Amino acid sequence: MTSARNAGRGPRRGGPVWSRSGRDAASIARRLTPFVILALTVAVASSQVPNFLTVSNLSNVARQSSFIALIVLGQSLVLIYGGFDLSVGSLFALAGVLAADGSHVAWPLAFVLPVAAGVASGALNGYLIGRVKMAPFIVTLAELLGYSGLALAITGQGNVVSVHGGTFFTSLASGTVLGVDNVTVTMVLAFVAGAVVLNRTRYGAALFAVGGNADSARMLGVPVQRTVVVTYVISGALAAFAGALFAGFSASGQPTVGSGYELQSIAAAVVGGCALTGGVGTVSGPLAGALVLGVIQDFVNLDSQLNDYTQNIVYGVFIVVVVVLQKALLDRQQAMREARASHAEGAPLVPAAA
Amino acid sequence: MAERTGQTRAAPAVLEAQYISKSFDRVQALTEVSFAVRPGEVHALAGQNGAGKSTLIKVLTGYHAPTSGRLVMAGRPVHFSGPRDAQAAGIGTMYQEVNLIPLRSVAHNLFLGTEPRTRWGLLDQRKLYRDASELLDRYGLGSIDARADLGSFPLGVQQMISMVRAAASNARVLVMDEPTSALNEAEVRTLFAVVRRLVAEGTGVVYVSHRLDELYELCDRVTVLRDGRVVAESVMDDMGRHELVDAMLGRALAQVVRRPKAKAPAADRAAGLQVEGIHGGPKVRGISFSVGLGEVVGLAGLLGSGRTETVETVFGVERYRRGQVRLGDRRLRPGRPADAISAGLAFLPEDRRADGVIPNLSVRDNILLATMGKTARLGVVNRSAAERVVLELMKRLAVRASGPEQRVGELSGGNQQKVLIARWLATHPKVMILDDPTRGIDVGAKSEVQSIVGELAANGAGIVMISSELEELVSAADRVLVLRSGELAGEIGADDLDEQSIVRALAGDKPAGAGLAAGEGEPDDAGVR
Ligand SMILES: Nc1ncnc2c1ncn2[C@@H]1O[C@H](COP(=O)(O)OP(=O)(O)OP(=O)(O)O)[C@@H](O)[C@H]1O
Ligand SMILES: [Mg+2]
Repeated sequence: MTSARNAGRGPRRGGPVWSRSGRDAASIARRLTPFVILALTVAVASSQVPNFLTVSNLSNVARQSSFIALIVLGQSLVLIYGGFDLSVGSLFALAGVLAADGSHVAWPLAFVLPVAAGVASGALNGYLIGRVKMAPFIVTLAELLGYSGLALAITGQGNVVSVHGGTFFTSLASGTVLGVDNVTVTMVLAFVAGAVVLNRTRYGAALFAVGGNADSARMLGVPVQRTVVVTYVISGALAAFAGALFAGFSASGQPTVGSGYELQSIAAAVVGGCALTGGVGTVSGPLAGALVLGVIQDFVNLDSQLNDYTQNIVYGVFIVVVVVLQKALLDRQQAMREARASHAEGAPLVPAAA
Repeated sequence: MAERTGQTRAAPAVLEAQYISKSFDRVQALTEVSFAVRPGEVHALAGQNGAGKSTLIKVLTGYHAPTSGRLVMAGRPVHFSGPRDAQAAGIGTMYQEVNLIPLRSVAHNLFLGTEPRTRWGLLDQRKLYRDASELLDRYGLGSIDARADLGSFPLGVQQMISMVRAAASNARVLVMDEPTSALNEAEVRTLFAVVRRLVAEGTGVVYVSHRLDELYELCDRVTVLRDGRVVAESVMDDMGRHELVDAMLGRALAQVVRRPKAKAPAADRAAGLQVEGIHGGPKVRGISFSVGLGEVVGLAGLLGSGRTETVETVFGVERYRRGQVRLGDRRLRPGRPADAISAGLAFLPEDRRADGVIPNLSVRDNILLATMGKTARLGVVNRSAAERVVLELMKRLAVRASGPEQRVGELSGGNQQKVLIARWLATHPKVMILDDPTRGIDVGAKSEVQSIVGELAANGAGIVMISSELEELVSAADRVLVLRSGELAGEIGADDLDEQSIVRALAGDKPAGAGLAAGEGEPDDAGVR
């Protein structure tokens, strides 16, 4: 069988044919988008509200955002692997109640109890989704309902539980270092740690691989199930930790706080550049996304013409616009890539064996 | 003839399958298969589409657990609970489809799971990229930027990277499932060189390909599977080509006869497809040709010559700036495949995985997808007529499935391709464009596709057929157009049509017809895919 493959003349050797696609315009634009959006949001807010751009107000925004930002961090990891976690909102509330109850026994329990619950919840998620192969939607939706019911049951009728004050727990949650709120510092530290985990560990590399194509990842020897379990554990632990922190900060465990955080955290992560289809994302982008939500909330609070209902409308419109933009950039990046691939197709890649 | 790699016949098998059976709920894919790879040999695994080659490979490499039977490595029974275990045991694998992560860098793909780490347990990024570049260099792929996303490379390059990954793990066994299906000639040479080097170092290689030339060139022994059973095992050279094909098919291969060449009269050409001076993109630079009804026109060209781009532009996947495309007296709107389809044009794309089957739908629904408009009347699908078409096509193309109800995702790679071919055959188009229709399908189905093409033409359809196999063009086409650098470089008529004349035209020795400007430095001569 003669094949035309034998008809080629000797290919030429060339210099590097391939450029670094990670640096092409569309992909840089996509990475920068969350920060540009944050800047724009701040610009709009400060033009409408006179004392928006003051140190006290901005630190207020950071403090307000820090609780949901921790949830966003976990949610981003979950989105990168290709799932999502709806349990975080009511876990946040349940954790606050557990922290408040624990604080009356001994202050360390105010952290240990809720975080243990968060880890357990995440492990359950990971088991059901990663191993039993149940859909993330069903599993975490069930928990969303279950945990908020549990929080209400523990508090009896949904009463607010006071936190035992004057301990390390409360001072950690409401104190400051060098004039910066501890919770803001905690948020920053968590995101730095998140960036290291995502970009500089084998777990992080596995996370992107599973999100890119779970079946391929398995063939490549990635421990897919373990990666999924670890990711939900991180998400659960972060949400619970945030809930405990908020209880300490507000000196109360409130069984109904945090409702809607599950969707807002997904929104912030998506605004921050994570794709719902998995495989792409950063942690810095979602942090910007969380701050954007915080800015909008602050703006709505400060502006006398707007009220809480408008806030959700603004969120909604905003998210649609940003997601459309992100999608357009992703498509553009893809198109440029294809163009380059087909352009390069004719170029010699390998020298023929002698 | 290529030099043989050393064979150590007496050496114990480095990897052995003993009485392996594997069944999926309804399908018995493997039945008591025993198979052994010795160190320092290339062992071919041959068989029709759906014979069980990939399934056996997935069992050998820990992806599937066998229903019964066991694996033995160097005399000791082993149990893999996943591909990870197999990798740890020294089995490097290139699965049938490229299975890397497109959105990650080449370096991350090469070292996924084995990334170099610093003392602190963090990834050592600098070392990661440096090691990746060195590795690529070592395999003659130094021009690839290890930092670029894998997905920015053409399929063939991705396949090469997959090979580097499989080979780099110091594997004692290297398993390759149709590694060359997306490679050009130079890449195939590199891959062979790598295999030979590893074999000389004592690695055992399992090699699957539907290209018999490759098996005879590279392999030392062959095991033939049919319907999930081993039907033959032999030293490669002791088994002749006919014998091999007969063992694979379980019958003698119907001789492909060179079909009598048609010369479409002018009237028929006017009723067929006319492409007039289209320009679009860098690979389509003023191309004109026509395809008469009842005529088969082959399209040959080296890698990067613009074959695929040309037919994509004609069909409307890509837009063109100048010129026009007509079907009969209807002018097709540029960039509108739907318009082309409604005018009676059909297109089997080259990249069937991306543009192709819908894995979760049944074989029947996949075949009928493109005919829905035609077999449905007032929205009601004519069931029995449709069923007849499906069964007929499945039979002719020998689609190995449990029935029309089976999910396409469960079929073997080659059978998925057959389903796609069947989809377009079912549309009864006026003119049909086939981009490398026989890639990845077995010898039996290849000849069946060729005879179906002939029949379609005899029944009055016009066919444009791209193929990398010259033999196929010679036996199927009435005339062959040769493309070079996005221009028509020549046409070979029925009277001169043989493999030599195509090779000459491809190489540019005898630039017939529209010539190529001398000394033009297009790097288009790397070989045909
Ligand atoms: N996951 C699955 N579920 C059900 N059936 C399957 C599955 N995987 C494979 N099969 C069946 O097992 C048989 C063998 O398939 P396999 O992929 O091993 O064939 P192959 O020899 O590799 O063919 P090809 O040359 O087309 O790649 C086929 O009939 C296929 O339909
Ligand atoms: Mg296969």
